[in-house]
Amino acid sequence: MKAEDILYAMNEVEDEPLRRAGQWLDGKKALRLRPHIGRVLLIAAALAFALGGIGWYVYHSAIAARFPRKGETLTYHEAYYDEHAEYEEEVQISRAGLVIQVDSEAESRVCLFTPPDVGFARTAFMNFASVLETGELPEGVYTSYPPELRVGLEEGLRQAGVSRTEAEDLCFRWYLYQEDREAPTLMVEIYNAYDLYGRDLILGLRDAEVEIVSEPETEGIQRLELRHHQLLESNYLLQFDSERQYLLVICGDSASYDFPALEAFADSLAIQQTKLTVTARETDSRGFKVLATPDGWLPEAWQ
Amino acid sequence: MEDKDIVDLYWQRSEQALRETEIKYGAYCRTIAGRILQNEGDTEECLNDTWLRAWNAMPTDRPAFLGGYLGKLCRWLSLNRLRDAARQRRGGGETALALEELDEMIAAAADTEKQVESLELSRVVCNYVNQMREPARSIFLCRYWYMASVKEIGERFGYSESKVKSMLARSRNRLKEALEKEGLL
Repeated sequence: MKAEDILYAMNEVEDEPLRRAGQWLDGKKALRLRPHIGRVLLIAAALAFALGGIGWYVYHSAIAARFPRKGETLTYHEAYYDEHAEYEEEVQISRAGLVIQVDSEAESRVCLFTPPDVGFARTAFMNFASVLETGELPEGVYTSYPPELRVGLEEGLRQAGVSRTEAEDLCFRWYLYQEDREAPTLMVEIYNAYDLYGRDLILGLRDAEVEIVSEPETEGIQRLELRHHQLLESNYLLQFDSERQYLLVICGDSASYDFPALEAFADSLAIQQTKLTVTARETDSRGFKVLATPDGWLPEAWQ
Repeated sequence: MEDKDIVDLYWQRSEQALRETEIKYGAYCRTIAGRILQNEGDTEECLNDTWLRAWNAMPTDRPAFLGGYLGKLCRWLSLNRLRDAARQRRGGGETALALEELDEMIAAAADTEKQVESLELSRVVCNYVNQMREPARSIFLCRYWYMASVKEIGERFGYSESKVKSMLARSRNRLKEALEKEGLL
């Protein structure tokens, strides 16, 4: 057999391998190195995308775990979590109904948040934000989130048979947090439950309040609760700082608001011993009211 | 134009078939012939022979991949032409003619055996090529079917010449083993 016999024999090779080899020679197929680089770039891009997705998921999962609310805006998260950002003293009211108050000098921050589609809550917050905007914040650092609050709330809701999702839809939460436990503490937590949400939810919230109150004694916080029927009628809760003698009440539906009853109630509480004068001023026809001590942190115009 | 349409033209005996073939596969076949013959005149003649053979073969042939069909035809004719040219170079004149006549006598006697061996060789070589992996197969075919230079293959595939040589050497050794296994070597 001669070498040329093999060359002739190769004439019987099938078409497809020939076509493929011909494409290489014609330059219709790219150099081997190019697709290799392309694959590397493609894999790198896919990896970056996947890692980004995982990071995004973890980030938002962490937030969701910490703040059991859905649909919050990214702006909110960024503003809240970026501890190194330079915040100015201003009130930021996002379209989602978010209010963030930051005191950059005192490194304090007040965060108020509410579901975006709760009209009343948004109004109330915006009104209250205007107070903060013109007034002075209490001393202290308001940045941290006390997990026990959320746990207590969830537990209370659970006991009331309200799912977490429903709770997110039905109520808003308002936290003023203090990170520096050495400083006088003011912690306000308000659960605004509308009449339409029903008795069970309010009961659940009240139960949650009870649970929460069991812990923070060491921090100088004493939570005072209205009686059950008052809660139902007025849709308000109040928070009392026994050390600083602060009483803050924010009420819901003005139609059912009973200011004399509230005053009487406050007088009957521990704050009565300090002759706490409770003042109030209605700022919103829909029922936003704030009561504070004369030496409280509300602006002069409010006292 | 699609291959099928060109083949249809051949079957209709339309001379348009030749024009379309030249347009679509002229460069392809010219490259194949040119690489084998390394001579422009011979290449053109071979190309014309290819078109003539195709014209005569269709009908009855109806190739699905016209490029492959014409390429094989062109390659086969080019190899024949190269072989004839080599014989001419070896001697020429009356001595060469006398040797050819004697060769023909011997070849005629062994013709059947040679045909069988040729078929068997084709089978083994095709099987070997079919089971090869890419890109070794394409490189092997570029070199021994398309007769491309090692340098050109290296450029096209993005390999160094030494790597191409090394891959070809491995492919040849495996082909040798396959041929030995079948008793053809």
